[in-house]
Amino acid sequence: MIPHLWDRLAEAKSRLEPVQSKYRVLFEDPREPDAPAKVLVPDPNWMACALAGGVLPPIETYQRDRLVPDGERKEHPYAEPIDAMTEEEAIEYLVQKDIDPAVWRDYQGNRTILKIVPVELIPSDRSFRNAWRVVQ
Amino acid sequence: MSTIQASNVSDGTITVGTSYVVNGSAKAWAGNVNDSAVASSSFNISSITDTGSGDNRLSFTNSMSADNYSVVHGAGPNATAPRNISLYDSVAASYRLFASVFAGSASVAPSNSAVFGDLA
Repeated sequence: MIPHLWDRLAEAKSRLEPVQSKYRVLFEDPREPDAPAKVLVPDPNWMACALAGGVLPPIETYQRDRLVPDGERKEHPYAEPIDAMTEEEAIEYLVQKDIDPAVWRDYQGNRTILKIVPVELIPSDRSFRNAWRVVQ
Repeated sequence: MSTIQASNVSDGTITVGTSYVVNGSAKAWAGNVNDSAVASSSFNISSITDTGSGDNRLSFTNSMSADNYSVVHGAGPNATAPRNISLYDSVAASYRLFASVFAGSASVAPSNSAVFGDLA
């Protein structure tokens, strides 16, 4: 029997050292044209699980679960875990999991609205944070 | 790894089912999340998205069963002045925290949060 995802996460946290990613995902949401660009930061414990393998479920289970109404059984906690990923594969997985498909799949406009960038390219000066846009 | 299998926990006088202990534990937490969406410690969080000044969205690795879970939240220990931390826009897969000064405008303050409720 496959342990529940939450149990696998608890076991992995006791065993794996957190891994700080060297990447960030910078994106704009086309449904909020006046909102500033957003910056997705991978969680270090999650990244450790992704790189180790044997903990996280297939990304397709999260995508199918988007369509499952609240309160009904979701697939991802019970799915067979996948093997280890590279850091780049893990970032692509996270884009599909934690960013709305309207950004990474459905957008057909001319602007570049999503970039995977090294941490160093995110400005450290946040004085004008709410004016950030993705550089074209 | 050893496993303790028991249906009840007792101190000799009071007995409770282990399901109360398991179901009553925090299902996720994120400690000292700064304005750049970096947490000093966390569990069951896949990513934190910096959505603007003082505004972060925290996504679960293992989703909650519905959006009716409870989030205990507050400003971090290294906030330099009193701050509000507001919970909003919570769904089964994520929740959002907004830091503000008491007048209501956005502010920079680290947040702490712990999530209780039923897992998916």
